[in-house]
Amino acid sequence: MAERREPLARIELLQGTLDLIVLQTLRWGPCHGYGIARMIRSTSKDVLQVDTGSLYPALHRLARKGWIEAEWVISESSQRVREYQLTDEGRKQLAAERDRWEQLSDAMVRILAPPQESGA
Amino acid sequence: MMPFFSRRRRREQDLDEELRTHLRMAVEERVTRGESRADAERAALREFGDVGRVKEVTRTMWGGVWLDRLVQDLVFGVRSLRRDPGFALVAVLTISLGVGITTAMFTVVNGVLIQPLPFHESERLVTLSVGSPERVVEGNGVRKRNFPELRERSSPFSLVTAYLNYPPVTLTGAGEATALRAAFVTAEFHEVLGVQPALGAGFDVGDDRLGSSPVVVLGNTLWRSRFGADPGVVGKSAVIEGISRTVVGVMPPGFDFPDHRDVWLPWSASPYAGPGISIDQYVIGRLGEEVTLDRAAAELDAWAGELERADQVAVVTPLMDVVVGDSRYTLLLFMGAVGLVLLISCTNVGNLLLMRADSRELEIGLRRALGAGRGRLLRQLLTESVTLALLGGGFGILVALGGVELLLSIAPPGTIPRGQEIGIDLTVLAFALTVSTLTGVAFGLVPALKATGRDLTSAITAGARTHTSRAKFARDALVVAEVALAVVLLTGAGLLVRSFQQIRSIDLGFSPESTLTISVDLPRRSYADAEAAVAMHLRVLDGLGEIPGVDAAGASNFEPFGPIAQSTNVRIEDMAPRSDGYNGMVGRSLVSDGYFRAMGVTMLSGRDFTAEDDLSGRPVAMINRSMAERFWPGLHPVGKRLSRDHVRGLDNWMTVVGVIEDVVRNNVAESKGPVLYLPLLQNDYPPDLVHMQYVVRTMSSRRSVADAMRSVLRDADPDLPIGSITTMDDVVVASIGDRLFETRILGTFAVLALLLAAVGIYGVTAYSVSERRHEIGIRMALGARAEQVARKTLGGVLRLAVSGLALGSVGGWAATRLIDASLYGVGPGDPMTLVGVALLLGAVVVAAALVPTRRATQVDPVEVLSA
Repeated sequence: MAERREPLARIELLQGTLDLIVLQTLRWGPCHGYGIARMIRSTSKDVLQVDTGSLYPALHRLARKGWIEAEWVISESSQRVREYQLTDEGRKQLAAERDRWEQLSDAMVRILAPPQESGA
Repeated sequence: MMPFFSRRRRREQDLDEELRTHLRMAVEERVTRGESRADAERAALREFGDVGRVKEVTRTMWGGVWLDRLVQDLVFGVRSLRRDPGFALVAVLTISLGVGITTAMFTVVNGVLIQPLPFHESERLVTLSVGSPERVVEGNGVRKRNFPELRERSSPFSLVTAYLNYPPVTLTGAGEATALRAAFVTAEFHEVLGVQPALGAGFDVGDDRLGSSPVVVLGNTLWRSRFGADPGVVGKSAVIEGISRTVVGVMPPGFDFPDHRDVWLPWSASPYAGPGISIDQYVIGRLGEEVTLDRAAAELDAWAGELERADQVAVVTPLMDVVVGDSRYTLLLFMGAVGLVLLISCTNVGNLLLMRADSRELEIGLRRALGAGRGRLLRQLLTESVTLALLGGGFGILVALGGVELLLSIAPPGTIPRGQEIGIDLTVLAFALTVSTLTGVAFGLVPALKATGRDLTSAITAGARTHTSRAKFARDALVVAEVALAVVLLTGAGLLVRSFQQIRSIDLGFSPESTLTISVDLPRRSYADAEAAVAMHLRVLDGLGEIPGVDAAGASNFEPFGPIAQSTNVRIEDMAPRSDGYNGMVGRSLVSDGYFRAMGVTMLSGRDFTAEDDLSGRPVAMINRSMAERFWPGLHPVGKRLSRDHVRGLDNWMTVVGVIEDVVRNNVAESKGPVLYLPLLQNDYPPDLVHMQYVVRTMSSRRSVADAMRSVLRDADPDLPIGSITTMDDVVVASIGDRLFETRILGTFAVLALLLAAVGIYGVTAYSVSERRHEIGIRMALGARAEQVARKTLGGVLRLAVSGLALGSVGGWAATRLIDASLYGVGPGDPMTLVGVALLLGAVVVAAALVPTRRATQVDPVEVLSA
């Protein structure tokens, strides 16, 4: 098993960024809150650990905006869990957010790039 | 509402379950990875964070949170008030007083000034007056002969009616003979107003023509009291003024326009209906569709200009304005005064809250330290204030109910019109709610701001005193404010009291003491000719003169301050007449011999009328001083001759036989004009003999003389309805009744304001003393004497009072310009009033601060220092 890396000192995620991460995570299918948090942690290789105080407000906010919807289902272990899944609106929003993020990220890369070496 | 709450509850439960599931799964995963259950639970919980906070933040993502917060705030507020019942009681009482009297006054203002008249589309109803520019301002109406033309016109009125509500009529045959207030109206009267009779069809077209069959429309109250509320009364007859009239209608309850009428008679029944009698009728018209007031005024003005008398103008006034009349001024004045009292009660409660905030410093500081936002706390404190205010407002409605009753019962007749339409309706409740809420915000805002704005560390640290001076400034400012407001009211009331004193001391021209008076209106049927009427009056006068103890008896058809004042144009012999053939217009009255003696009027020259001045003798007259000075300045008028416009002609000269001192005529405050007095015995014009006021002067027991007077009248004519016997003094006081009313009410508010201010001063001084106990103890330990402490305490209070007095005097001077119309003989800067107010204020302030000051001097330094 890979060595567990220590998470970097708490990275403050902008609200919009967290929304994007959640939407992306749900792209692969419906999931409950705990599962989303776990998936984010593993996909980011322990860099991003979303705490419940940010995750659940985000989930409820996205639900209110209509980008995801929640329903109670019975899990494999015969327990009642609240699962979220993307709506059509949410899919469109995700595509738009990805575009915007990529533009931003390109721009950041260019800004933070080492200075061009001059000529020959 | 209910689904809302159950939905909320379900959301809460779902969230709870969701988070618990999360926690459970986290624990399970750790256990799977090999941790012990106990370790796993501890770690998972720590990683999870504060469940409560997570829930709270998540909840903010839901909509509709504000209602939850409001309910939470309300519960918190109520609990907090319950912990402090003394404060809550005082605050609620103060607010209910302030809001209560404000609501009471608004109820009256609403019923009289705001609500439309209870007639169909009442905003289309207007009154019309046509006459010379000087006369028309009094709203005299339209000359009888011009009315038919008005009726013919199709514009600007779709319907128009004319009426008079004088003289009273006698109802006989259904019990005791009673005098009724009647209106003599044209047939479309009720139609113009748009009020249908409750029974019957009312007047028909043509009922008002001379010679048509006699009919009558009854008022609802009369129908109940004298006709037994008989549902089949229509078609039955009522004997009015000796004539049997068929009842054609009964008006619905509550309708008594104009001015408390008992019956409505067709115009033909009026003594002024005959040909050859010129009189002004009141006219009410309903504006046609799409006709504006301005257009109507212009049209009618043009019409007036073309009437046979030149220089006539027309004035069109909305009926509402005429009905409301002077009461608008009075009621708005009261409303303003009551508003000031409300402000003072707000100030008191504000101070209470400020003082209370000090004691809640610790609580609020802790909550802020634990993370409560300032906005949230502010909202909570304001909710508390508003709750307090609404509670006070609720009780205030009860106060208002009583207040309205009281006000209407002490208001002299005529001061507050539309009495039946005054009541607590939805508008009033909405007003009470709004005022309470605003009050709550007003007195709660500043204390809440102060409470939540305090520096956290100093709030939690006990014994910190850095904030005291800021808080004290706020309290002091409020005290100055309420003293100023009280001074404004006191000044206003004081000026009114002084004005009233001045009016009471005016020379009336007669001596109202030791007089008894009674008025009658002769039924015209029984006294159709002048001879019979004069004979009747003489019978009465003889009988009155013979009552033991009566020094003088007399009669006049004009009573001072009475409803009707007659006038006449006069022509003076040997004086060049004006273009209209006369020399001027003077007042006119009919008097018997002995009248002036009974009234105690000073005779200036000549003689009184005697029994010889009858129809067989030469025509004589008496005049008053103003008339003498006007037409015979510097001369002796006795022996001079004059004549007046009369059916007999202008060459019927009368000789002046006596001159009397001016007597007050319509209004105590009015200047006395020229008046012509004609002898009773020389009158042959029946309408002038209908109304008569008998006056006797006596030093004997009032009751026995009054009884004797009544039996004299009954002997003279058993069918004559007898009214009440009063003294001339009462009549005088009644005539200034509205002024007295205004003074009394404003005075009551001023006293109320002063009391509230006193309570406020007491509270603030007591609090300040208790706050400063430590300091006082130290001072006394260092050698300060009791009177030094007293002087410092009292001095502080007096300084505030003086500031308030100064501020209030300035404000008062400005505000009293508003009551200029009520002032008589005193100006806004009347020194006696200002001094009186200052002294009264000083006394009350000292009295209020006395007990706390004494307590300050009784502080035991040993006790304080060893605490």
